[in-house]
Amino acid sequence: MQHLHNPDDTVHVTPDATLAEAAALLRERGIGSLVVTDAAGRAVGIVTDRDLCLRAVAFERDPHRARVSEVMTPEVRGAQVTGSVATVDCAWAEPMRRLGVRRVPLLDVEGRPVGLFSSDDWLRWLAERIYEVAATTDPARRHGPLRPAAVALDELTLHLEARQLLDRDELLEAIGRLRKAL
Amino acid sequence: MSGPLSALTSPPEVIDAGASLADAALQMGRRHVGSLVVCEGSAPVGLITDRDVALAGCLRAPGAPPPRVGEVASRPLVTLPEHATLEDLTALFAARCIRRVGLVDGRGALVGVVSADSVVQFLGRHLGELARTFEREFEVEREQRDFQPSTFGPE
Repeated sequence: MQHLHNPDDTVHVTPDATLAEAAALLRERGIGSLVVTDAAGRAVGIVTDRDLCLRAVAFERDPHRARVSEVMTPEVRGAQVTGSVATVDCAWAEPMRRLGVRRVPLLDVEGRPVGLFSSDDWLRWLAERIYEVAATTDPARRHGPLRPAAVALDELTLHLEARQLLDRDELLEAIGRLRKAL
Repeated sequence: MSGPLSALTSPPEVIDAGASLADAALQMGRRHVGSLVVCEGSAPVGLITDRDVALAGCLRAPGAPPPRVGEVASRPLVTLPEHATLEDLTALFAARCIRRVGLVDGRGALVGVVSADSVVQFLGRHLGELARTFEREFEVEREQRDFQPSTFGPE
């Protein structure tokens, strides 16, 4: 889960920030949403570029007077994470589907946001896994003349790992390069 | 239209370049879309997204009037011929890092818009079909064995 989203992309804003301040953060950080947090750092909502479009610009609210609390989606129930969560749990999927939202904050047990998971992250994660599984169907790699050499290298890798040999990292890296080239 | 992408294509939602950002935002909300094709007269000249509307609408200087749709839109509208393939489409998405493309007929008239979201939905259905094929393979094998348990394999 940790590598599924970038914690640097999780930007907080207070409910009393102006819409202009929120929009400036979205533009500067190149992101689509902000987690709204109270004074104790707990998530109280989420505000997205689409919220600004549909709830502020559509009604000609003054961006220098209107506040984030007026346009945010309150009480976003995030996918709560405690410790390490395996990606196969897909803890984010249920709240996303139920609420029909593209982003859910990941919260710790205190309700403080520790990350933000988006449908874009989900799509990239799926595409990478499918790409890797699909690579195993390449006939040249599965059945080609170099297949026995590839198997021998895999066995050597396992052997070195099991024996915890010296210079293991360098050896493993060299084998990895060879294996990839096959 | 009848090209390979027709099932993924939506009719274009258009707005005039002279319209206000509020008009654009209201239309996006009413039509449940994230972008509108911007037209000057009947000619499509660009695309405006909900993010464009949000940032342009909220980042103007205090007291300044909000810009018009035509000033904010990305120009020109990126298009493909209506007979383009899914491979053409996703290659263009990747090359230009865009998520929506207009489809035009032989005379250059806009006939629809196809989005990355609709491609993901389409591929998701494909993946579901593939998974069901794998499930069905096991079912067929079991039926052929008169429902006797396998002596090998992943069951």
